[in-house]
Amino acid sequence: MDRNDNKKAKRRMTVDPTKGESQDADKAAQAEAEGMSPTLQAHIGRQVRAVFDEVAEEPVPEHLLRLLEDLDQSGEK
Amino acid sequence: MPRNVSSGLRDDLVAQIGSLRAFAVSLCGDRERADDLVQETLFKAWNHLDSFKEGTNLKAWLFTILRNTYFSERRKRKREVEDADGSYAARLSSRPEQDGHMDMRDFQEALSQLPDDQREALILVGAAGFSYEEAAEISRCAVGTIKSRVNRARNRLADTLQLDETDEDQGIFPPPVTKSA
Repeated sequence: MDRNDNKKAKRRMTVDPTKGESQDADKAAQAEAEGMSPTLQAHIGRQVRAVFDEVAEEPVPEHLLRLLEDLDQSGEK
Repeated sequence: MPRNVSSGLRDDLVAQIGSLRAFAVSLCGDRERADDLVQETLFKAWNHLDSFKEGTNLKAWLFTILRNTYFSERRKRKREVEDADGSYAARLSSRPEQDGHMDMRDFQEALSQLPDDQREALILVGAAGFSYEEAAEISRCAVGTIKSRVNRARNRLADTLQLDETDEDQGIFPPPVTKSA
């Protein structure tokens, strides 16, 4: 999977490529991104989010909510 | 003890718990330990709220605390019990909820086998919604390093799962529409 026309594939989440010090690493990263199509990247992206969201969207456990309430009350005294 | 924690700020903390749990699970691969980590993170965050500037990135701040907590604990533990290779994957794949799409379980398995730094970068940028810059601050490394880790993680996943542009059998890429059919 090492050719393809996807120079733009890696742009998806890039913010500001002009940040100085890490230019070389940037170039290396770009080289590594070559060869992966946007479609494949998007597919992987969806899967990563699905795994993450599965936990993130669970109801928050009671004891964690209670912790904040307790801290809140002790803080106000 | 922080003075005057605004209820808005408290609500903001609560709103981040879900993401913190997901990040914690992705770090340690263990649900119970993940919740302990989140609890400790919330506790520390609460007691250091005065060092947080309201209006700046609360989520990144919390993720940083959680990550630091995890790694400093891990360093301590390593002295006691050496964490055998692959134990992370073993823990994650023995999770009770093994239902769901096979596709996703396979993916989860492959994700768990990534090197820690690559998995972390991919989760931060690809799932938790951080920019490369924010992820770099959380992980205390250069932006280019994060980019490189994310790319390596993607390539490795594609490799492990044998995802490939031409592989239509995976059901990832819909077969091309035939013009004349």
